[in-house]
Amino acid sequence: MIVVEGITKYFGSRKALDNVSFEVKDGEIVGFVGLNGAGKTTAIRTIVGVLKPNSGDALIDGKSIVKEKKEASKNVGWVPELPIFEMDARALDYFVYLAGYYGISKDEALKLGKQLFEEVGLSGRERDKLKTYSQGMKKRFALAVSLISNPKNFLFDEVFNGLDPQGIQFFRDLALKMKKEGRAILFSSHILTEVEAIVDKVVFIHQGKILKVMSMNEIRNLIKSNDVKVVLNQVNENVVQIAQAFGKPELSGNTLLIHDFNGDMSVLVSKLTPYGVLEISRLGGNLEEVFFKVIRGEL
Amino acid sequence: MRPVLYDFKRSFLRLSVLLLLVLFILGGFGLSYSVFHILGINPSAYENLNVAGFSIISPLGTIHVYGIVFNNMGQPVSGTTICVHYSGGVMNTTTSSEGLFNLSIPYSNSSYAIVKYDGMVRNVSLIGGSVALVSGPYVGNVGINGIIHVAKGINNVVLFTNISMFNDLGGLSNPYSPYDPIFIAIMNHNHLVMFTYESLNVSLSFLQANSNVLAVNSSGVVLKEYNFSLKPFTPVYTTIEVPSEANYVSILSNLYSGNTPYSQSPILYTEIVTGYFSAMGLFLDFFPFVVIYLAYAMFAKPRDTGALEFILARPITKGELYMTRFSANAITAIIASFLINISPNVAFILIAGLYLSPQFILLASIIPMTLLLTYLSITYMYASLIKSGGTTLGLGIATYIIIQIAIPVIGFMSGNYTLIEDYIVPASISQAIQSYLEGSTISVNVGLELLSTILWIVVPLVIGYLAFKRKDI
Repeated sequence: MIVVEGITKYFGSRKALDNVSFEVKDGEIVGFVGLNGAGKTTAIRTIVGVLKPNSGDALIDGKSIVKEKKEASKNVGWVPELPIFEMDARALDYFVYLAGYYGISKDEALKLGKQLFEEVGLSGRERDKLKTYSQGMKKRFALAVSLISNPKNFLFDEVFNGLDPQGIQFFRDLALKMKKEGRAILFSSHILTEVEAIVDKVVFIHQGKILKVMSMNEIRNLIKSNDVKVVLNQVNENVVQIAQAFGKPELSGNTLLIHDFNGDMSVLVSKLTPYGVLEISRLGGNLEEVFFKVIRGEL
Repeated sequence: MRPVLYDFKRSFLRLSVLLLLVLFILGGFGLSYSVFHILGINPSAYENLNVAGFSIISPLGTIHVYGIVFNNMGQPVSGTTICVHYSGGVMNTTTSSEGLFNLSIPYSNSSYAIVKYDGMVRNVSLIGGSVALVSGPYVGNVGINGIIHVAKGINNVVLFTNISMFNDLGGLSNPYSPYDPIFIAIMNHNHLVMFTYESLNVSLSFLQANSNVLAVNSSGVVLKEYNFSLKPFTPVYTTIEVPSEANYVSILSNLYSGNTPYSQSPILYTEIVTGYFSAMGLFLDFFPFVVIYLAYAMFAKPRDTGALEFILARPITKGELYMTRFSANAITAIIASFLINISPNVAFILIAGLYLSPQFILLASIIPMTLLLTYLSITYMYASLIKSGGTTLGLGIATYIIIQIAIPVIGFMSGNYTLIEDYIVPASISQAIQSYLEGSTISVNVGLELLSTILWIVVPLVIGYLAFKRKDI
């Protein structure tokens, strides 16, 4: 569980975060949405202990990131938007190095590294230098490193940015899998339609302030349309059969429209995962509309 | 793997560091060779081949030559070729496993021997008086050093020697005097070589005494005593323990007694050590650039690019991250300091069989080590205060140049050059270490030099540490 308690952060005289508070419960995916420069990344860097807040704290499973940094860091994983490593290092070597900070011996780290590289889809690229990795591979590497201590809490910062559909699907499925495993996940994004499909709750941040925290059910109630559009990588008759449990399906090419949607979008995504969910969104009103209403103070 | 070891591995195994280390190690070898030439030390002063023995002139006009050949470690050299030249002829022989040779030649007042082994050559006069001048390496009186003589009042025996410049225990008599019945030399690492042409009981005592005291029982204190029963033409090769306080040695036999000053260091050591530090100065001019670059590559640059952030998200505090990186680079600097001191010493062993003590290597290594740690610490401080890696690198180099050039210039202009060099510049402890190792009188306040040296390392390190902890990465 991640509890953010009144974090304020200044960069010089500029207030980047203003008394930011919210929480991410175990088994919950929380969307962290805001415009570019709203303070999402600053908040996440503070929560993982990279930045020190001027005031406030973040508790990771009850451990203070300010006062108990080492203990707290063991319980949180972080995949940055643009992961930066020491690029001349070879991936597995660097993994072993970082595993050292968790007190893991070289032999154990090599074994764990091979296993996690396979899990995140980097198998065969272990000996490559990090500078040869694509943006998506860097994010997968950051994920592998974050999984070293198998933490119960994860922060994904704009993780869909720069990823191909396969990469987006990988991280979306991963978040859903982690949710099922009871982990607490904070998912920051400014691509609201992507977040909408998987989150349980949305934290709206604007100009360093938390404007509103809303559950997806609350958001759904605000959205007039109840039709869902799903773009799949591949389709067959089973897709329609699956969709019937969520409303009235209509298949057109690779696009599935579900009228009168009645169910949990994350469950739908999970069931359609074998067919490659490229895009999922509500038609008509969506999170984006709600977001701008929140910013304008209309909600 | 411990992160500090991994960071050390990454800093030490950088191509740039390895290349420079290899260059410096090779340079160390080269400079060691050049030290001998710069100082004008003749090969005969250090060549790893020594000869000593006796010529016994019979009344019938024959010279019986008995000699030994040994190396600078006081070990016999077997298979050495001995060519004895005399008026009207040349006679050859080789040494036995004990380094012994003997032969008889017709009397000639210009008899001499050429000793050859593995490319090394020494010449020695067999009859006394002027030494025969033949082509080949220098032949001269350097060979007299390290010999202890006991005189005997007979005139048909000549002691001949030509050995390297190890312990200068001579001075009792002329080695080419026809009155010496015994040859004693203390070679490298206290290896004793003794050779006599008749039975003798010899006592060798090492004393601590005030200067100019020549009587054993007056004010000198006997620290160690060795007794030997020597047989004619039977060499003794043994290792003795010489107390570190010993400054005199006493020789007592049934024929002769006397004292002579004893130096803990071979003469050769004293000769080369000055040149050694001159050569080391060349390394010290360049190596700080390497550690400044290391600090840039391992700390300033990753901080600038943001690579340290991902590391900091691991279970580590900012202070620990700073110290881990610094320690890894410091280990590299320390190992480099030892390597650039060990390589010349390996060369000295190869050239002259001269082993410098671990204490020498340790102390000599402190000189580059303190200098390198100072500039490592300063560059880390800049990297903590300034985020730009390029600026940090520039400042590190500029600081080095200013300190090495500008401060001494200020010293010259203000008339305080000595004061500045002794106490103000980084690694000033090197002044005391160098003086100590050269055996010269230390006229500086060692405590102050040590304090100054430590402060140059610790103060920037602490400032950098505190700044890094406080500032946003």
